[in-house]
Amino acid sequence: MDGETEFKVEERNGIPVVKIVGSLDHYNVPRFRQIITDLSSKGHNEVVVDMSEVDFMDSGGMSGIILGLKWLSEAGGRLLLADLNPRIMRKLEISGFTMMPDKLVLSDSVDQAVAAARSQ
Amino acid sequence: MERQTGAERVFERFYELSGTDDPDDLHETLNRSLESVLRLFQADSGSVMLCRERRHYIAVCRGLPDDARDQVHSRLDGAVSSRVIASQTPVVLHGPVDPQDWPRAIPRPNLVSSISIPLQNRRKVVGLLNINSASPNRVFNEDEMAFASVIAHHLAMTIENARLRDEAKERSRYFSDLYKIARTITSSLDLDLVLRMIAEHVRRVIACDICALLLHNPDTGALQLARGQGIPDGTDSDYVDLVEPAARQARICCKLVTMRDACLPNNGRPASGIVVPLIVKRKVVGYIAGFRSDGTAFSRATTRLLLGLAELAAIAIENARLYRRQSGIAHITQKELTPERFEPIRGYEIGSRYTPAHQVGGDYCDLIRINKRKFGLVVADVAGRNVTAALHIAKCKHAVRVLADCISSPAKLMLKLNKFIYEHTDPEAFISMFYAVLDTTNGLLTYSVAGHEPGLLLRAQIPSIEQVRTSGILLGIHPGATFEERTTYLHIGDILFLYTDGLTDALCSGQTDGLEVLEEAFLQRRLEPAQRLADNIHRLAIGNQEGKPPDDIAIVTLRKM
Repeated sequence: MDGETEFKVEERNGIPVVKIVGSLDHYNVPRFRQIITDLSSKGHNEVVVDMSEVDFMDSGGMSGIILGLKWLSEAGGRLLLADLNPRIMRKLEISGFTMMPDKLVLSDSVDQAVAAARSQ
Repeated sequence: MERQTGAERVFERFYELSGTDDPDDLHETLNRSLESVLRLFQADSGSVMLCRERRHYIAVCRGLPDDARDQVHSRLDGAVSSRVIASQTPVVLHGPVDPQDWPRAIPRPNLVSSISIPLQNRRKVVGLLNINSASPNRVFNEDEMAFASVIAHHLAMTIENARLRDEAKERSRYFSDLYKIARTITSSLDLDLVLRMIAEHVRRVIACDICALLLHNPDTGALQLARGQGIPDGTDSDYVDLVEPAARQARICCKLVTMRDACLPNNGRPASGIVVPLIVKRKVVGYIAGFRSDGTAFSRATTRLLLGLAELAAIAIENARLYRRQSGIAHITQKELTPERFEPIRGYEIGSRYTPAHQVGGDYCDLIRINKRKFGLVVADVAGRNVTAALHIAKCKHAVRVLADCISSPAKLMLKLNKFIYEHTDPEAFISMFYAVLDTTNGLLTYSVAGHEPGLLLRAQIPSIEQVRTSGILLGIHPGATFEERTTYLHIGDILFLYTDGLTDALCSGQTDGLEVLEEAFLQRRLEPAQRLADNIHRLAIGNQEGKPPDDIAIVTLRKM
């Protein structure tokens, strides 16, 4: 993917939504981790990640997702991933992430994910 | 009244022009100001001199003959202007100067009267205003000198503003240049590429014909030419010899050293050179040397930028060297951990192929002889790169080997392994794995999958592909995870194909699913020997990615004969 990955954070109904545009990989996952840390320190333990414009995710990106869901679940919350492309969805299914609904939620859309999230 | 009006006009013009952004406008401002002043004082000639970097020169003049201007230029140390600047005191002179009062002053046979006023800004002399009269009817007095002083004050402010603007622009250019350089030379950890980029920047920044990057060998300390540009073939050691004395000096004082009349190898003309040490944590690791074969000197702005570049270059080179050393260790470690070929299994054909995406990858495969008739087969994808990945592979590989020795059930092995990975690796570490135990006496395959791509089993009797999978999450992320196992039998001609997700990613193109492409390719090549099958599928994936896959690719093929 050419160009740098962008991260945008906004709030909907009190739920932080992190939109990623580009790839989620070894190079930019530190930025993603920092965002989750910052949101967690502000008291958010339910975070929606808009994956609609993520076209590639490698094991580095996966480690970012894992760390994010670990941190949020330790705080009693969850990571909610929304609108994943079929390839990335397949990776997450094969990885067994669908077996942890108490820590990770996979939604078809950002609206669905925000509705499923519990606001603080 | 007329003089006051004229003075107001002059002041207005000063205020108007002192805030301009056009750097060339200073010359125009001084020109117009001088013209206004000469008109105001009904003077015949005059000049404005500027003081820059301990020298002063005529910036603008009117009414002066060329030879007088040249004389002033060449004899400034004895001229009236020099004394006025040094004393910071204005003077009014009448007639030719008395050599006793003004020794070494330039003769002024045509001048009747003159005013020389230093242009001062905050007690610092930035220039000089000279107003001359050649007419016997026009003799300046002390009052006029006082009035001229007021004008001189405003002129000084204009000059100082222009100087500050120039400085600000130069600083902005300096930081902008450094930023661009930093962006490129820190974009890679490949030492050769970093050196090439640095050399290109050096040549551009200091406009030199020849650039040499010399580094101290970390083990022996010897100075070696690491990268040269513009250096003729076969003269590397000559350039090292040429730079060495200046480098020694630069190393001792940790400062830039300039070289005059340097004798370049294969070039008789004296050249100018500059040598800057590369310093990391107070240690000199090398030098940047630049040469201009035309012998022109390097300006202050140029040397300043080169010093900034050297600071960035030192760090970039050191990082690249460290990365190279680390990768070397990880590469050696990985070679030990992932054998190129497996030991043969009686009654079976086995093939394997592995390509890391970077110097060291995170995939691994293993064949474990559990006993005389049972083998453990592992294909795994470990998170991380380089040294981190190599360490995780080492932990995982040896843990599996130890567990396989005493746990016959793949699901129970996964349970133990999961706990081990969770407790003994970083929180973000995880491993996906396909683990199978093959009983060679009857072809029984027992397998368990933890967050890994499904295996493909091609049945020889009815050429069809089954996906071989169990439910199970990635190892290392959930300590309470459970795993299941399943069994199947391999019959004669059946082929088991195991791989990592780097293969399906590489085979994916546009809307076509990588797994579909893989299954089709597998079916087409099912009659090939196991190793050739692995090689050809691998070649297909690499071909898709022009030889550089974004992720590691590991393949294991097993056929029952």
